[in-house]
Amino acid sequence: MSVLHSPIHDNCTCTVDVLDGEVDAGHGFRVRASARCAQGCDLRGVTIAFHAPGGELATAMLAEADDDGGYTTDEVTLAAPASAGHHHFTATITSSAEGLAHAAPPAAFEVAAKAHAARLNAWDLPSAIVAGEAFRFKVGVKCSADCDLAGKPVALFDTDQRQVSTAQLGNDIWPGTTALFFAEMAARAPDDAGRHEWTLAVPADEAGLPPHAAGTAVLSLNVVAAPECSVTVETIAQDGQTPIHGARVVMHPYRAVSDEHGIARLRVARGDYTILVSAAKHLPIRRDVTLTADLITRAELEHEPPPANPDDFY
Amino acid sequence: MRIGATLAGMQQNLGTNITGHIPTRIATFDSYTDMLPGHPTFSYRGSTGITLGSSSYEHLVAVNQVGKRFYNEMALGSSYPTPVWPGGKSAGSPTSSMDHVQGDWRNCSPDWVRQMYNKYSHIDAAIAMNEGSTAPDFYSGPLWAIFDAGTLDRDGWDISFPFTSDKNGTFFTADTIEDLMVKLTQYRYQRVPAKHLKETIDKWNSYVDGGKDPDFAREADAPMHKIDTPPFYAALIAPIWHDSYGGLRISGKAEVIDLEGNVIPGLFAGGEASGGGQQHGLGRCLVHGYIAGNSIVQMKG
Repeated sequence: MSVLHSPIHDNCTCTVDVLDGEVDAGHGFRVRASARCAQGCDLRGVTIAFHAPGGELATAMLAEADDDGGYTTDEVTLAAPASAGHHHFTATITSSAEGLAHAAPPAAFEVAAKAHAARLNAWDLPSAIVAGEAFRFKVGVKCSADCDLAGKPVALFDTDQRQVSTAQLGNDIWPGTTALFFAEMAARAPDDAGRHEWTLAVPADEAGLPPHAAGTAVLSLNVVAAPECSVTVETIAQDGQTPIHGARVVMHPYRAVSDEHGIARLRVARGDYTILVSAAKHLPIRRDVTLTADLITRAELEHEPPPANPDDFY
Repeated sequence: MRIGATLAGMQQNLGTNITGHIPTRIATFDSYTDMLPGHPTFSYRGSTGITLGSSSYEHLVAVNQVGKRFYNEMALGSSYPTPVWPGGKSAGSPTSSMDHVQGDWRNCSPDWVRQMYNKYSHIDAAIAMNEGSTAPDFYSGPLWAIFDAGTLDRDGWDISFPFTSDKNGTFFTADTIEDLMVKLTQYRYQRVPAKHLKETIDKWNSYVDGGKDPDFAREADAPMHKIDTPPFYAALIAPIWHDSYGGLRISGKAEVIDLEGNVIPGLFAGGEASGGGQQHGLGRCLVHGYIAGNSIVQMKG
């Protein structure tokens, strides 16, 4: 290196690209720093330090040369503060290159941190609920940042926004999930038949660290009149005439699944229905009926053909 | 050298049955075959895929890369014994691709094509693939089968390895639909967000509650089931265009022809990269290769 160089190249520049938009409070966000020496030094190996107001968060070395004479770090993940809002950081050059010290004004950057979102979901809700009767279902809540939600309250509101049920999320997560906390809820159906859209809600916790936003989901109820007829469907495999266990029988909005004897039983109101029957590896069938009395019927399902081999066409 | 070559025989891709189709296998790159671990291709595919029967489509919804449905899922895996396009004699259109007339008024607009072609899933899939991107920089993104834990209970799908893989980007599991939307971006060809997925699944569940699918009338074919029981899954649907009749226009010496009808010097094509032969397969490749090779030798000599 030439002795004509100044011992400190203090005319460097440093910038930081924030790669993520708004992030969950307390969660990681990605940045990449770039630096350039006005005298064209190779800055690979120079260390960049990332600072929050409370101190240093992380360091990274400049590694890649870009097309404009600058050098960049790999992606670095920094932790956003646990509170919501805009948070400010700086990045500085902290080590030398080519035997010379380099310096640049601190590069300011910021990230927007938001309250965690609550994602609600309901399942195991009966497809038809008799007016005025009790029903049960499951509700799950997931934090967008996978927080522990055990003990958090969930409320159910009717169409008039009256609270009709509450539950607390349990300590366990739903099987097969990573952070879905759940509870079983019970409520009483409206007295009038028809579709009703109720609302599930978890309250906000804005003061918490990290803060959590409120979340809602629609709970759609199919409320029906008291059943008047019984329908028994015997589901049979056409080849072999054996009962099918687990066949689905749908007379919208009523649903049933066949037992080990191939029998599915439904209690329905009088009226016109399409009976749809399906089962694994069998072709579904349908039949239209006008139901004025109890019905016992048989559904023979044909085994589905194997998937077509396209090469057979040539 | 010209910047573009002429295409030939593209209509033949639509005039022959099952040149393209959607196989009944999901969660793998190569849905055409079912090679197991140990096969030389398995390191590429990473999973055999889940082989569905036609009735299994009852348990999923199919969406394009922006998360919108595009077809009646119950008909998604059907094979077709007749030409795809145009619409046949009743529409006043030719019934054979060989009768197709280049520049004919019948292929004047995409709307006309949509109205008149025989309804085939892979054509709708092809049309749906680019949604979320615009010409000329189309991102022909993936199609996804979306289903839930209820699907596995009802239809007995095995999602363990080697049927699926959590490493090859063709299968994702998530606690919520919103999480699934985020995970889909891990697939290398998912270059736009599946921003409509949550809205699509909410709408689908409302259709199940209402007993009707106003978009594709699925209630006529089989029971409909909500997608509401966690965890939730996305499996790649890989339509196949498993042979191509259309391609680069070539001369009798297998030289590629440019947009003005002139030979592009030194550029040769053959087999399924070339078009207009109304034939496909190894025979065509070998013949074209033989012609191209001899042409090159003669030109050099």
